[in-house]
Amino acid sequence: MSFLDALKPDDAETRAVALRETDPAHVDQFLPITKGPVVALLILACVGIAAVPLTLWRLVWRRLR
Amino acid sequence: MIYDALVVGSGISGAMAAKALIDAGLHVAMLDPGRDSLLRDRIPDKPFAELRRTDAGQRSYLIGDQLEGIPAAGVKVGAQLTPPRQHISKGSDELLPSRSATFFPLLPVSLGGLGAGWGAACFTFDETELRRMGLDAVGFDAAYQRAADIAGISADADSPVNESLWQGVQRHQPPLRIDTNAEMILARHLDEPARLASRGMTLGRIPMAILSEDLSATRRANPYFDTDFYGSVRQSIYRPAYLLEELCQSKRFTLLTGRMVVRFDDRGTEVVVHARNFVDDTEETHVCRKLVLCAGALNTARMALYSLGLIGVKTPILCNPYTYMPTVNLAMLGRPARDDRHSMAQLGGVLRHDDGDGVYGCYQMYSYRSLLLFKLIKEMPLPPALGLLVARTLQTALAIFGIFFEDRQAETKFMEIDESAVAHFEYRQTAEEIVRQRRQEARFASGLRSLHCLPIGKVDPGKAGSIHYAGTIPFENPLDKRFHTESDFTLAGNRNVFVGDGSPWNFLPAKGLSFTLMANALQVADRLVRSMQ
Repeated sequence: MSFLDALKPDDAETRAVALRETDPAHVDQFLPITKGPVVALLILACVGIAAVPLTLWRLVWRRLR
Repeated sequence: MIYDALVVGSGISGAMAAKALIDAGLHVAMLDPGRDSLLRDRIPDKPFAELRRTDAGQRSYLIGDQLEGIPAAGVKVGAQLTPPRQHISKGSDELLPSRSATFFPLLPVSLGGLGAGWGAACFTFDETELRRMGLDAVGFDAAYQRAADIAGISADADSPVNESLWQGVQRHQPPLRIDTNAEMILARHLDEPARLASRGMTLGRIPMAILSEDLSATRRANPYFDTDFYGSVRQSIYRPAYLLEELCQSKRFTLLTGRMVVRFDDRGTEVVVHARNFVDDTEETHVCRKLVLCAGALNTARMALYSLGLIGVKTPILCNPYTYMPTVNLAMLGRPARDDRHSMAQLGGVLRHDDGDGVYGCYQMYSYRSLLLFKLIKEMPLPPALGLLVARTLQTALAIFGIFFEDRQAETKFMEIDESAVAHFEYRQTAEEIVRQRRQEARFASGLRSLHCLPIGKVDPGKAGSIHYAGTIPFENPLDKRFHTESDFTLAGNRNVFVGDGSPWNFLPAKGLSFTLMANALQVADRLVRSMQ
């Protein structure tokens, strides 16, 4: 398994997202974010910054589990 | 009963051939596994966005009651069939057994064959392409028009891609509306067409077998509900099963489902067809004056090889190599998209050969709207919560470009069968083909960037991923000259057996083959009728 594949959601996580996405009660959490290009770029930048510590922690946590 | 003609296969070719034969006054039977989905009829007649908000039963058709719509760990997200369309190949392992380490085709057992999941883009092949395939271009324009009248096509008569993709069909419906994402990409192209032209590319609206106006009481205009990947919304997209429903009204047509044809025997004045009825688990024989093989190139070849006792004999396979590139259309980033849209290809075009001689690649552009976000999140190397944020941000701006490339015969692309009629496939592109394809993919990506669509990846769905199969009983067979199709579409040595699908083609152009399969089947049926006069 490549490093990037190891960072992808596992089956249980994917299933949990799919089940939530097909529940009408949660539909708002899956709507497109359309607040303009600046906000979109800001979100993508924040995700990029947050991704580093979170994914590293995730890797460690998965090893410990 | 001895039928005038027996058609094997209910797909794109089989349905058209049967229609032409019945119209000519023949008594026709059709043999097919004929499995159908009940799920697609359970989908409410409402827009996708509304279903998501209101339908408590949406899980059954969006991801399946058994969660079969969620690709498992090792399976990359690609063009997987949605749960309501998974009946197309369900059970094929048992009914159509095959082995391969290099080629993994989708083998249909559904009513309507692969046509039950067709993307509906329609293209005409030009005279040069037809000649390279081994077909006589004379009469093809008329056959294309007949196919268009039956299927119902909407097209833009002024589209810039028509020069390469849509010639000779005069009667069609007005074009479908395209979505906001496609509108922006097309506007950018039309603002300066030289950007793509300098890379040998064109772009525009493409003809689709989707109704923009009502065709009959049952086949209605597409309501732009964006549920086309799941249901059969108002039968607006042509499916062979709809034509079969119409043919079943005729007393001259008999549809026999639950059957797998095992072999046939041309006895000179009649053909005996041996089939397995897998519903009753019995063996059956059917007798006809003429047999038409329309089971799809791979299964038609399997039947023919087995019937002729050609065990272990290699015969070619043609299959369009296919790559798709997800891109972000920068102009749409963070912007809302119009809700009313259909789910199929919004735009398309061609990539010409380096030397400008003919079409090397043919592509279609899709927006990512009614495919659920969990599929995107599954492929992101991020925690799901962050992946969801990215997916929501990019969703309206995602433009997926899928490109098909032409395919030629090669010694490394073949199939054979063993004593049990199990098909063995081998498909490896030559080194030269791989180099050429990589070079053209780079040119294609450059063209997309010039439209401000930034590729974020390149996905190879695997060999056979295009689901375009042909050339298994070619007019000119370089691997074994005994096994070929005659120029009058009969199987060599079998004057009463006609090959009505894409099996006889010597070459597979990059353009989608379905519409030409329809026109070709009409031509074959005409030949058959003339042979009986």
